[in-house]
Amino acid sequence: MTETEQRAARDQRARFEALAQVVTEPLHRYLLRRADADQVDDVLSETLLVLWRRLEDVPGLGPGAVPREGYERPDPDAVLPWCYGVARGCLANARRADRRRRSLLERLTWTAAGPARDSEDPDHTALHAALAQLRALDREVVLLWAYEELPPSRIAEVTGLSANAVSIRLHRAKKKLAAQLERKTAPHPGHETDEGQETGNGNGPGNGRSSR
Amino acid sequence: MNDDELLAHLKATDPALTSKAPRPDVPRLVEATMNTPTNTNTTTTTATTAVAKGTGTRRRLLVPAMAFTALLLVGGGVTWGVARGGEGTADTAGAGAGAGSSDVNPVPGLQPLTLTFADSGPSQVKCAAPTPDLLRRHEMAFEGTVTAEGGDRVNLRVDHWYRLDPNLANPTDTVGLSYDGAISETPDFRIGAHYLVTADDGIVPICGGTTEATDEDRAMFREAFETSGN
Repeated sequence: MTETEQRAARDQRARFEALAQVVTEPLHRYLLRRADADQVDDVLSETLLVLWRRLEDVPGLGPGAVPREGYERPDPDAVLPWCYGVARGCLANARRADRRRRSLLERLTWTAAGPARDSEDPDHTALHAALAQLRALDREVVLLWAYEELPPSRIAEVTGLSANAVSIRLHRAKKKLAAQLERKTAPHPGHETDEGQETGNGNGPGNGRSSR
Repeated sequence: MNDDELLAHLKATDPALTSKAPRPDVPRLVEATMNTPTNTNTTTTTATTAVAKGTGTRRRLLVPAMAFTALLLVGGGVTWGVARGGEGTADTAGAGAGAGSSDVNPVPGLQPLTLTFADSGPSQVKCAAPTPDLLRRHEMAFEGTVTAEGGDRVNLRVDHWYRLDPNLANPTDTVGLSYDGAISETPDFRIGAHYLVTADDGIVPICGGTTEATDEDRAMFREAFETSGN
């Protein structure tokens, strides 16, 4: 290896280290929020590997964006949406591989109930049930807004949608979510507990249900 | 419930805050990543894209075959068993089936064909506009109406087969289509709307021309599959 190549390799490693310092923890949280507990570490490793291989493609990390010496931390706002997009793709791949091992019934149960969480708080259960009713892409848009705190333009970078499409989806999904939560948490005459109400969707007045 | 209340509610249930998982050991992960021979990992991360682009070979044959067989065995019955008896997302699916059509699985024992959307992989996908020549390469093509939707799955009643996979053991008039991690090029499926769908080996390629049906698209499908000399 010539001296130039060695320098280029060192350069690349330093840039990746600087990127990883900024994105690894947010990516870990991104996956904790979406993946099964036993998938998180594997998908995180896989995501970092893709970032390492595609270092040149990371927006905001071009040779001009990072000082050649010192490798200051890249701007999280500039690099994170793209990296979330990579994690999203890796998670989708992992889920697909996982599905081949699981039975279809298990998968459907999982989809209907959402990933198992430690919390048994009924508020959390209601929220997860409401989230599970959203379409996958709408759910992702809502989670990116609420948990990753991204504005529509950044959500667009993660999902590949246009910023306008993100705003529309986000608005609709939030409305749907709020309506479902209000319905589930509304007091129900004659019942002390809210247990069992969620299964009785068919006997309500029907308002708030998707009519599309 | 306004936006701020919803946001507060969501944040209070953030799984990352309640998780007991240790924080990632960044230096170790960085070292492990940079010391991984990249060639060995290319397969997992790019295979999906390869399938979508039509360049995958082994995986293209194996995975859909396995998934397809499994889904054919237990697909429709279990789906609708859960959908009708369950709760949560099943509510939407059940409601859709009732409102749309009663022929979700008209013949007992004959399971609906189930297709899966190819995954786009990590990168953002923008597809080239389909042409009759590109469409013609697909093994299967049909126009269908969405009769039920729920979670990451829709059911389509086939209105017209443009091309039927000759290997298909049980051609039915209902096709299930599952997708997760949907991306920008995936059509937004709505009950009652019509879609043109192409598939290969049980996989619907992201850039295979699958779209909500318009007269223009129908004309292109007809040109691709129904004109003489193809």
